[in-house]
Amino acid sequence: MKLKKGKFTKGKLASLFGFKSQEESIASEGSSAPNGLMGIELAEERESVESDYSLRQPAAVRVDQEIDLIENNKISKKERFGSEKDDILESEGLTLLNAPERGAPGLGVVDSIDNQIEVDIHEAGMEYDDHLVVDFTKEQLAQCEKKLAEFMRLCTGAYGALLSTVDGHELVYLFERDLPAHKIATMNSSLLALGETIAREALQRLCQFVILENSDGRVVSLRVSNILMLTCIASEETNLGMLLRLSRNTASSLTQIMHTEDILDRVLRDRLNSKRI
Amino acid sequence: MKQIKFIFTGPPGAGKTTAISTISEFPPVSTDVFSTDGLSSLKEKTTVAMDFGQITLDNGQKIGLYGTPGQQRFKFMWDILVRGGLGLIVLVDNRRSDPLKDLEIYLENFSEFINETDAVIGVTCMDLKDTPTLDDYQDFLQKLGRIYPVFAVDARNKEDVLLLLSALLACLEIS
Repeated sequence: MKLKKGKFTKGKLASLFGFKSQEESIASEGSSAPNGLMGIELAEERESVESDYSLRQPAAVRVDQEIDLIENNKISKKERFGSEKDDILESEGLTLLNAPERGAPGLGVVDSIDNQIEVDIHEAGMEYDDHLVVDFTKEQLAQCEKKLAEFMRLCTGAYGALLSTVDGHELVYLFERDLPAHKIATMNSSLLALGETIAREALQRLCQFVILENSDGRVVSLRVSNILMLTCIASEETNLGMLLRLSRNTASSLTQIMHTEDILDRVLRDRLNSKRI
Repeated sequence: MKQIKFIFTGPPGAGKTTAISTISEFPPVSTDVFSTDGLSSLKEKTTVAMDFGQITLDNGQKIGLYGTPGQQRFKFMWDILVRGGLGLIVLVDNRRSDPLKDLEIYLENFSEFINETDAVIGVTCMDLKDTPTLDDYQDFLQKLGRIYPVFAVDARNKEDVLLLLSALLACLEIS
C-alpha cells in the first residue's frame, strides 16, 4: 500500500496513537502520541526451540489540547482514513479538521471514556483488530510528553524522541524535523528485537541500547518496558555518552509513569479470561 | 555449498514461527515481542523482524528458513528478507474470515519475488475449519492465473512442513 504525504498539525490526535502515518510530515516541533519427502532427510534432530524472552527493563505517550477536548467531552471519536479527504474528528459539538493526506486504508477509532484512552486501528486485509489493547490515562500521557520534551531540551542536537510499543505502534513523539513516525516506530521495533536477539546469540544479556551511528547523527533505541520502547534521534553534534545517559534517564522516568507491568498483567488476564469464555 | 534460502510468510498467527521451529535443526532465532494490539487476543507474542532456522539435507545441502513478520506494517522486512531467496512458502490460516483474500494479499506483495522463483501454499487449521477447501484454493489460484501446489498442513507436524519444502524444491527443479 502506498502512503501519501500529508501534513499533521501539532498534537494531532490520530497520529498521537500510531495510525498509518508513514509519510506524514510533522511540522517543526510537531509531536504526537499516539513426508514422502522426495529425498529430504534431516541431518540432525532439532533441540529445544524455546527461547527466553524474559527481558524486563524499564516505560510511556503524549497529550495536548485535542486530548483534553476529547476527554472533557467524554466522547468516542472516529477518524476515517484511506481517502485523500481531510480528516474529521467529530464529537459532541466538537469537530476538528485537519488536513493530513493519508493513503493508508482502513478505519481508525479513538475511544475515550473517563480517564482511559483506547485506540482502534484497522488495517486493510487483516482480520484481527489492530487496535492497541494497552491504555493509558490522560495524566500518564501528559507526563510522558513532558519527559520527552525534557529530553529534547537537555540533549543538545537531539531532534526526535519517540515512544512506541515493541511491536511497532507509535504512541508519543516529538520531532523537530519532518520524520515518518510510523516507519520509524515499526522499523525500530524490528531493529531493537534483532539487537536483543543478536545479544542473546552472543551470550550477552539485557541489551541496553541499539545504536545506529551515521554520518549525520545517531539513532538510539532502548526498551522502556516489556511492551514499550524509546527511540532518540540526534544530530552529529550530540555527544554519544550524553545521548545514552539522557535516553536511559528518560526511559527510566517513563517506566515509573506508565506502570506497564500492571497493564500487561491485565492484558494477559483478559486474554486468559476470554479464552475461558 | 551455498545455502538455499526459503522464506515463510503469511498472516499473523498462521504458523510461520511454529513451522520453522518444527523443522529447524537448532532452536530458531526469533524476534518475538509482546503483542499490544488486537492480535494479542490470538497470541501473546508476535514476530517483528524475522525468524531464522536451518535444516540440512542428506546430501549436505543446507536450507535457511526465514520467517517474515505477518503484519503489513512490516513490509519493509519482507523486502529485505526475500533478497537472495529461492522460494516462498505462504502459510494461510483457514480459520480467518477470508483466507483466500489473505492469500491474494501475500501473493500480490511477493509477486515480484515469486515470478523470479516459485511458491507453495500451506493451509493451516483445516481441521478446525474445513472451508474453503483445497479445491477452493486451487480454483482461486486459477482465477488469479497462478499455479502453485496447495497442501493442508499442521505447522507443528514436521512431516507436513517438510512436505512443503519438498514440493517447493520439486517446483524449483522443474522450473
